[in-house]
Amino acid sequence: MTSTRFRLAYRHYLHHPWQFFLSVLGVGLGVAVVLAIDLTNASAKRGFALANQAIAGNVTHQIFGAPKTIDETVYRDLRVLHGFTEISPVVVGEVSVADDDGRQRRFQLLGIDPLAFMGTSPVQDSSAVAPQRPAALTPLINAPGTLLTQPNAVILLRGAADTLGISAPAKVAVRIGATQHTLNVIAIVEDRDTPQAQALRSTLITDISSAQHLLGLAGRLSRIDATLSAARAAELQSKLPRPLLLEESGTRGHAMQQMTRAFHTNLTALSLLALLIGAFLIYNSMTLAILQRRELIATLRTLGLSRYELIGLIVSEALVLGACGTLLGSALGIGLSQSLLGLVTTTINDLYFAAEVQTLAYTPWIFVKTASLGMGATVLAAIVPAYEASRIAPIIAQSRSRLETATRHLSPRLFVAGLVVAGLALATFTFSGRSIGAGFGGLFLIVMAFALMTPAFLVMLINALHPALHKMLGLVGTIAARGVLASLSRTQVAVAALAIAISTTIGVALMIGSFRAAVEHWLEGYVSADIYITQAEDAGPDGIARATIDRINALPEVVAVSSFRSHEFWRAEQLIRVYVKGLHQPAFDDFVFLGGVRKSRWEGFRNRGGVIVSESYAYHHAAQVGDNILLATPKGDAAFRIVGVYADYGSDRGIVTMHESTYFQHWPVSQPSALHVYLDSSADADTLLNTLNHSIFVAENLRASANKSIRRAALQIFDRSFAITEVLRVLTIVIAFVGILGALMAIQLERGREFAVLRANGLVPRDLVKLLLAEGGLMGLIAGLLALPLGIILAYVLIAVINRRSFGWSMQFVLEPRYLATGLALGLVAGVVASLYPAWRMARTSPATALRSA
Amino acid sequence: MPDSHSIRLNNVSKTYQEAGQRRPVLNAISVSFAEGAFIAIQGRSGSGKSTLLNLLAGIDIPDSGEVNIKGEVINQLSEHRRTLFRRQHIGFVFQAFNLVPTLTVGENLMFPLELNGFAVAAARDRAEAILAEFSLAGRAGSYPDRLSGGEQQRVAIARAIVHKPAVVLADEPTGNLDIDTERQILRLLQRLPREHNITVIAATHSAEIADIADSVFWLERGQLMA
Repeated sequence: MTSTRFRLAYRHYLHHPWQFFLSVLGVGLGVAVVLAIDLTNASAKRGFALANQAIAGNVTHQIFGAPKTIDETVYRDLRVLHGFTEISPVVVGEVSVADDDGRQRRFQLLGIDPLAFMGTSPVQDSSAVAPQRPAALTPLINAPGTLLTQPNAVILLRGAADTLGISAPAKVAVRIGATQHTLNVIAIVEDRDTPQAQALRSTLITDISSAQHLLGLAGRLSRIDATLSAARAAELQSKLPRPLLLEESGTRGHAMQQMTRAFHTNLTALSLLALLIGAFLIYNSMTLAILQRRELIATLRTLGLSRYELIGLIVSEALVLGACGTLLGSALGIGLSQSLLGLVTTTINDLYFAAEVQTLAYTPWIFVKTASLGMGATVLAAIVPAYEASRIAPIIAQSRSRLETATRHLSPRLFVAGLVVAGLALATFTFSGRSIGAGFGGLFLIVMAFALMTPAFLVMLINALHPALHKMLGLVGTIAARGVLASLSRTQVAVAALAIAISTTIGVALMIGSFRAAVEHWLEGYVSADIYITQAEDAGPDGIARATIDRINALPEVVAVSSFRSHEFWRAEQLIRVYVKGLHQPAFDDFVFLGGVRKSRWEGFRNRGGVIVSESYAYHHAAQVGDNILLATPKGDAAFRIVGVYADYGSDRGIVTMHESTYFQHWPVSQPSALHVYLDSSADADTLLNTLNHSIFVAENLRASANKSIRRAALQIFDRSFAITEVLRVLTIVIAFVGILGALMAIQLERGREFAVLRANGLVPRDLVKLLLAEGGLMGLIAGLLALPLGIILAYVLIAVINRRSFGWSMQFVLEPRYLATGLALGLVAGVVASLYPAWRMARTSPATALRSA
Repeated sequence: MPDSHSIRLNNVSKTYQEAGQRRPVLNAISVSFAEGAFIAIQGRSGSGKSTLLNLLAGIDIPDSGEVNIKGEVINQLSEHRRTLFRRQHIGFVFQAFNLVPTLTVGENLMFPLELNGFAVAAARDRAEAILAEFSLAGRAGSYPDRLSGGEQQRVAIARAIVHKPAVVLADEPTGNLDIDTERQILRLLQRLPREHNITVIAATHSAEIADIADSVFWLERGQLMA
């Protein structure tokens, strides 16, 4: 029984191959974007997890310094005095290496004690288990002597060696901070395929003392790894000097992954928007396919095909389209994810932590999920047209004009439904607290509300633009305007899909523009010092020498010098980044405080042990002025009262800023790692930098930059971070363009008889082309016009809801007219370009042929 | 005892609403059609002939009254049950043929059979037999647009009877045909009651049908007159 029905469906598409192809392409592109983002996100997460696991092996616990590194004597005491042989010291840092194409690549330099690291050192306690590492690292056991005895000796995995184009033995030049070093590659581990080997392909493994020397961490450790039973962990905890922290392995890795959660969520949401537009195309395509077959459907119903059977038939058609689209999308998605992986890891590197992911993590689940989404979206999109088809009465007498009139009469009701959905969106925003998912849910509801309102707006705008079109093109303009209205059942969906795609690009562009403006404004205040001096990365942990600070302070151009230190604290499995600054009041006043200026704030910050926190810290920790922050100090936990919340876009997890004098009350006095230098207004920062370059900076192993270059670098990172968003915007437009092309082709080719009558009555092909281009242009222009308000609303939601909930940032909404103009032009161009082929084809068709075949 | 009048309309009325105006089309019509007869319904354009056929087919329902076919008041059935009733007991012939353009002639005939639960092979055999009976044996694999108007209407009639319905409703079956072809089609329709025991009710302007029909009714101002 199904065979004839199946033939009915597939032969329709056999006669309209372009319609089938464009529908499949629309769904395919939507699915491709979702799959690519999903694969990329999953690969980035898995890469990070594997890297952790590859290094950690069976490590159960890790000891961290508070705030930064650990004195190596702690390790010695734990091992020798307290008998904890199941521990292993680790020093980690980042280095830059030029690959065989000359590009700088970031590598992790991992310093280990080969014997302890591999668990081969003598174990005194028979119940203790020394840390065991992945098999990929076994060559370390074979050559511990070399690694220990040869300075700057490193071991690489085969993948890393291939990237750098070297084979052992070899010398590799690396840059750490501003300094070049040469490392000796003594062995290459011939393991390319295991997950651990892949995770370690951006790691250089060296002896701990070499790492300490290279990274400027003499006598310091980044962490201590341990493989402990619960009882041993408790014992070690009791022996651990304050303020060191013993944490279960993976806690920090998990927390670091949490940092990128909002970033991944945002990408996923954007990709779902692309799929939504793809679903619109399916809806459009199915509606067109049903309208084209109205008479056929009526005949089938007369012959006894029931409504349910008809719905089943149409949903089956959609399933086939969805399956083809999903297959195509899966292939495209895999290709696309290869390109996106680089962009995602670059952003994670810029914003969060070093992550080198070069391999896509394919899991069946991702494909199942994507296929379900693709097929699900297709079936959902087909349900309404299928239901509409089932309402087609078996009476053939119903004319097209009556159908279109009914569609026009339906538009006010759809408009009201749109208002209701918009109300639901507002309610979602109001009552969903801080949920990012609900924020996106509200965003999607707004898009749906707009789609429902489109027919009413379309009729209104056509009526408004009709006189102008008539004036410009005469009767051809009138036919063009009425043509869009006469096919309202078809044109409204195409216009809605294009408008939504354009509004997405406008919304995202306005959001990024506003964000950039906010960041620029913030940088003006935040990077208010004229010169920023930092220690080179290979400098020691002692900080900038007091004498150097005095020399800089004594310069006649210098008005003030503010010290800077950055420390990280872990509390309740959360990273708290603390900036310790020796701020003077004018620099403090450059902060943009939420809640306005308060004189008592400086007093609280400078003299009463208070701290100020960034807006995103306050958001993520639900903290406000007056609350206390607990931090581990050498004397135990200490509470720091929040005296102000300031605007900051430097970190999406938040910053706590503490005055140097407060810091010294709780932690030992130390030298700063950076200086912020304020100059006299008549002094030129670049001139001074040139003068001081050799006398102070090079000699003292310091790096100095003028504020201009810091701002420029910050904005470069900002632009890089949004590169992937730009790619998604372009893809969304491509999907929408496919949609409008399909819709216009269907509409205009279907009207072949009407155009043939016009030709028979004397319309020359050129006029016909003009007519079709005018219709396409009109639809595109209207889509562009409709996209303006929706784009502005989407931008506002992205700024006020999504960004706020994802990152805790608030920002001023900047309405940049050029983005609106671009959106409008995009609609017009898409409409005209999509009309070119149908116009060309119609103009070439003989009127006699068209009249016969219609 | 079998009812020789298995198609009855009892007090059937139908009114359309157009542009806010009520337009009565059928006004309390009561009539019985004899089983196995060839019945012609005549009337001016817009007199309600097609509406009457639509009510008999169950693709439209009256505002009041009963449409009784084979003892079933079809306008009281649900839409789904009406569809199932139609697929089993009614065949339809249209003025514009309405063959499915994407199915071959053979497949067009197989479609109602498959809807009625025939297996594909059985449906194919039955379709081929009917096509042979209608002198269309060689056209089973052709698409409808390759056929002449007369051939298309013969296929349409074949499709209407292929599943052995009780009634064939024909709406202006010869309206699109030349005189010679019209005669061929009429002869074909005339055979149906005799050879297949099918009641044929044809709405038509054609004077020729009136000459060969067993009964002729005239529809005017909502009333059906013999």
